[in-house]
Amino acid sequence: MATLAERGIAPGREAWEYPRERPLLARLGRLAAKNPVGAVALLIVVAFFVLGVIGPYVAPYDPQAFDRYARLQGPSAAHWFGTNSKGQDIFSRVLVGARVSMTFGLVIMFFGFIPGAVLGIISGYAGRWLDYLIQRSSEAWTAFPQLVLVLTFLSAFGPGLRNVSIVIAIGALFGGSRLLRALAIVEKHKEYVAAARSTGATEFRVLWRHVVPNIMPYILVGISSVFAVAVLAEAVLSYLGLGLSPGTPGWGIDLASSLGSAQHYPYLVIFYGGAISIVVLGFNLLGDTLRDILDPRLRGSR
Amino acid sequence: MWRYALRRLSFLPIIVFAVSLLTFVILRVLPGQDPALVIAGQGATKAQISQIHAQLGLDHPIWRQYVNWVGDALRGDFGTTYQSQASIRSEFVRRFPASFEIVFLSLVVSAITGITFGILSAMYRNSVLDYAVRVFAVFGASIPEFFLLTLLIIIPSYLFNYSAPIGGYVSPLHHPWTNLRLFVPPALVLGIGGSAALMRLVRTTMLEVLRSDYIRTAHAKGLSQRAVIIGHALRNAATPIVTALGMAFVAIFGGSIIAEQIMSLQGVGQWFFASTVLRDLPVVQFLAVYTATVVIIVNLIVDLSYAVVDRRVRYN
Amino acid sequence: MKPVTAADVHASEVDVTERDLGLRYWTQGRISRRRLLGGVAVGGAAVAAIGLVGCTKQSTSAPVGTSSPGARPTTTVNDGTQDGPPTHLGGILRVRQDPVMPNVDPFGPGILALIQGLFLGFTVFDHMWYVPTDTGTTELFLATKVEQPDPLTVIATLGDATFHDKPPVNGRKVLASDVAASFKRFREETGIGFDWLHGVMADIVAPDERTVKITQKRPWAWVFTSSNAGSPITSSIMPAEILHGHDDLLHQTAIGSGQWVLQSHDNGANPKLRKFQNFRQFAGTKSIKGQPYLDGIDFKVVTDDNAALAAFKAGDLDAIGFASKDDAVQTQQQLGDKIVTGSDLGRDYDCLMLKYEPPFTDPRVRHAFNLLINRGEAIDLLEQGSGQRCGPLPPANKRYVLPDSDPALQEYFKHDVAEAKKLLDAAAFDYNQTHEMKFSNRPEDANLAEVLKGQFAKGGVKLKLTQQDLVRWLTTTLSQSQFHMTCFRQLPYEDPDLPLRFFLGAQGFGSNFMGYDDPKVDAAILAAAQELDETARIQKVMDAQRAIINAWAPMLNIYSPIGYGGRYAYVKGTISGRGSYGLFNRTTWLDKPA
Repeated sequence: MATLAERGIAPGREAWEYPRERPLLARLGRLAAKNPVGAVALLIVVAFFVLGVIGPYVAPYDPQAFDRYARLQGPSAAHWFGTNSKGQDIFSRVLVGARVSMTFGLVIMFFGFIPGAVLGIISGYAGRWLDYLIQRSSEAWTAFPQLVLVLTFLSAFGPGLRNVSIVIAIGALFGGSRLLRALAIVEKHKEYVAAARSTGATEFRVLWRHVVPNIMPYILVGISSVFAVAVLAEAVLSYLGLGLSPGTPGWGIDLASSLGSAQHYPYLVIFYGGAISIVVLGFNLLGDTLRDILDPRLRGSR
Repeated sequence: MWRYALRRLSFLPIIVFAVSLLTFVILRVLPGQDPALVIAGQGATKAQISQIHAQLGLDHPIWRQYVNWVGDALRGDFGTTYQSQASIRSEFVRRFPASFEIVFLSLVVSAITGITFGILSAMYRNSVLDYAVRVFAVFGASIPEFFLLTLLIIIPSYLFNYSAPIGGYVSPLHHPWTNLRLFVPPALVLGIGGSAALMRLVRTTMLEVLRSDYIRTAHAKGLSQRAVIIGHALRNAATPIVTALGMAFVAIFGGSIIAEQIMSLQGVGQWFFASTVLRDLPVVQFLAVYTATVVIIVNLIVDLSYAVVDRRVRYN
Repeated sequence: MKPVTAADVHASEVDVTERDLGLRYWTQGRISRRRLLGGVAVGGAAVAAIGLVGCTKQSTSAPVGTSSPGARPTTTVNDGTQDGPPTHLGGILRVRQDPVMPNVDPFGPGILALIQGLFLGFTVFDHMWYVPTDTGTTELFLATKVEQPDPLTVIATLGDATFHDKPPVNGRKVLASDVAASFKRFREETGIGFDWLHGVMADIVAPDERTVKITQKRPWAWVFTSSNAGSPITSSIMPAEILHGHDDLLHQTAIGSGQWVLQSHDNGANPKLRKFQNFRQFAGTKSIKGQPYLDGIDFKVVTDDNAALAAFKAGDLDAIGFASKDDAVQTQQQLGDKIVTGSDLGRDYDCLMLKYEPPFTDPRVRHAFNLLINRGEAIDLLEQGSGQRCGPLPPANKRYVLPDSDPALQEYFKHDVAEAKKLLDAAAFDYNQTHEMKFSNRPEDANLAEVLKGQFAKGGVKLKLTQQDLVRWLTTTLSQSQFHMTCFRQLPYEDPDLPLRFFLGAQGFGSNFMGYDDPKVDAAILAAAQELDETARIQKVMDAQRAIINAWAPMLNIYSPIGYGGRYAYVKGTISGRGSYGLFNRTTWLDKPA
């Protein structure tokens, strides 16, 4: 469904990019500095994580405290982003909402993307029947409409941050596996793998110490996409009534619940919508920048 | 490559089978999914619930229900909806055009913006235009679709009292102008959202191609920049464009639920959503299989075009 | 009590308006009152279920009258004649459809049947009578005469009418046997709105072509109201021959004898209604020849509120229910006198249900919980001030509701955290216990839950909020009483019968959702329901409300929202302030060339 099949930015679809012989991590910083778009993207992403960690502690107001006498006030010195229809401080809710989105992204990363990445790498590295099994499962899982998964799981176990993020994570399983499988296949035929093996290293050690570090930049690209997906998924699910409970501070649910008043009180949607769009933009641009740096076809053209 | 394609194609039934089984089990095993509760309504007795179970064949063991369903499905009979008792096939046929048109028009928008922006961005690489175009495309993919589409409704209404003719699907054959007005907003939103990846790909391919020897030769022969781009570079980018469009398709296909919802189009996506909410099991089952089949086929096409790119890149 | 016959007010003898007739007839010792969306306790939630599918807020849909936004609802009867006789006949009214019906079968499926029932019941199907909410007097539709020779018997005499000209009925005459068969068919269904059919009606028979005789198991004063025999849903008159064994036909088309013929629909969406040329020419005793004035009504599915407002402003819809007061005010400013906007106090109301289990078996705890609810704040936070506090009976039931000055109601509306704590301490309430409150994912329910959680927290009472998807909540949590606490918006009922019956325990029709049973409360509610004299019944309804308050019965009502609507000024002859009666708008006409 829409939330994960997000406009083809999913990591699993980026197989037209190919790795180079040598580790690239070392060059990333230097190249990013040369790339203004990438630098801005990185700044956004870092700011997002900082807010995600400290947001609830620096929020000037309790984001869930009502104030019937301070409803629907425009931005002011007291309320930088104004207040919503329940008199809650929007600035505080945006700050706290960063934590929600970050948690969402982290859950999807740990329970969806990383297991998927591991499966993909194992699949490519091991080959044979294991590859076959994982690839076919991946195909079936990717084709399975996530709408069914999300709706039935949530109606069975109830909506809420935890359940929504877990179900999205399950749906995102295998998301990054295809690209990483392709990369693992390429890596495994490299000479250094054979060399490492010849020194008597175990397969696990070869994989962990040699193959994974070489693929790492691509894993970062994938993680960048995962966070973009997570922030958008929370918004779309909330709009469909499947996300967080209204009232919980979260960018998506706050945006979705304020849409009806957008005409009269634009500030109700601008800050939530802006937060979502800017953060997703940051992750997307960061991913793009990483891809550009990694893309062999662009090498030397700068 | 053809052997690869055939082999992949032979997996299609197996995967569709797996998807249908998974859907079947999830819908029947998880708590709170009993369609009889929805059908019986408020205050129904246990006896009434059991009677409905018996009527719908839900009292059989799951494996037998599944075997029955597969048997019917293989004969092309997907049953009737619980909610309207209409044949699922005829209901699908009725709802398909709206969904198809959204996806089709969005893909057209995606292709046009993606290719145009990609070419511009490659030709004026590292210029302000390059950055502006790239950020615009990525930004389009960064705003939640429902938000952007709502803005496209609110703003013209606020400024000009203008509204798209929302209120049901209108056939493009009978009322082409009304149809266009209805479909332009969702096509723009979904299309631009889906164009970011395509733009990236076109740009990368163009940059690569523009540096290659034969383009220099073409320039040397005195061909204009435009002729070079259109005649040579773009032709070379054809395969990756198909790839990216395939990816955009999957995304737009999913995104059409939101568009149908906001534009009140009563298409397949809205049907899928409503049926899942209302536990209309036969519909959910059918649409899960339909969606899976479409996605698998499109993925297959994408993978095949990978293979083409793969060969070229690997042996370059 | 001496039964009064209606013969003396038969149209041929007495020149009175329909309204006068009603007043005279029903105040002289009979029955009165109505109830409409009876089934709707849950039906309401079902309507909202579809609203959920459409991702929109439930909104008022009837065109409204001429008052300005924010004005208190008027008490004058607005029966559609305020604009004088129509200067233009014909034309098609375009209005929004939301929610979408899954089909056009009034019998199903299940939780959605009420949606079809409501839509078709007001349009395609005809009824014997209807009780508008403002006057509370029964207005005769197909019936030309109604008698109640004894409290258990109702005898109606029908006038001439024909069914729509569709096979297999082909425009034949409406017979008394059709009415009886229809009632009996609805009795095969279940649901809250069907209680009267199951619990009170003993039998319905047609001794001859024009006479319908209803017998009741026990006296039930609310028999005529919209919750019971005057229900737009379960009193719909359908041809007897299609009621059984014609499921396919029922899903595809609706055949009735109402003023509109269902011309087409897309499986329940975008229905088009056209004038029934052979519609009966009388309403009870009054001539309505020539009505409806319109050629038809086109419903357009618009599931998104923003899209609906845009369509209205662009002139694609002739009338709209606004999602908020802000929408009404701003649209009025933008379009000026091209449109007319107005407001109406809703009959729906928010409530909090406490399961009758510890600690809620202690009336002091229930009283304390009520004291913790700040109704005024809830109205401000949830409705931007557009609402009215709700006692045991929603305030829209003007004739029956306790006046604000009543000590009992003042006690009910009291908000006092300190006093609540005292009561909780006295009841040895465990403040460490966390109470789970379930609610659906309808926005209005979820927002209410959030506000209640905040208000209870001020008294030191901890709530844990559990959101459920609407269907799950409706079919399991509410219907099967699987909750400790739950809060939701009730549907709009048009008479006091159903709102009171929510408190009725074992003495009534079974048990209520809370599992609550108090003989005193039951006695008070039943006393009101069985009092046939209206003046006396009004007092008994008030006594019942006081009994509910005194017992701190575990359904705590919070407020009723005010709805806003608008229409273009060229839409004339609308009916407003009469509850759902406006949906029978035969008198609407368009003041522009068709």
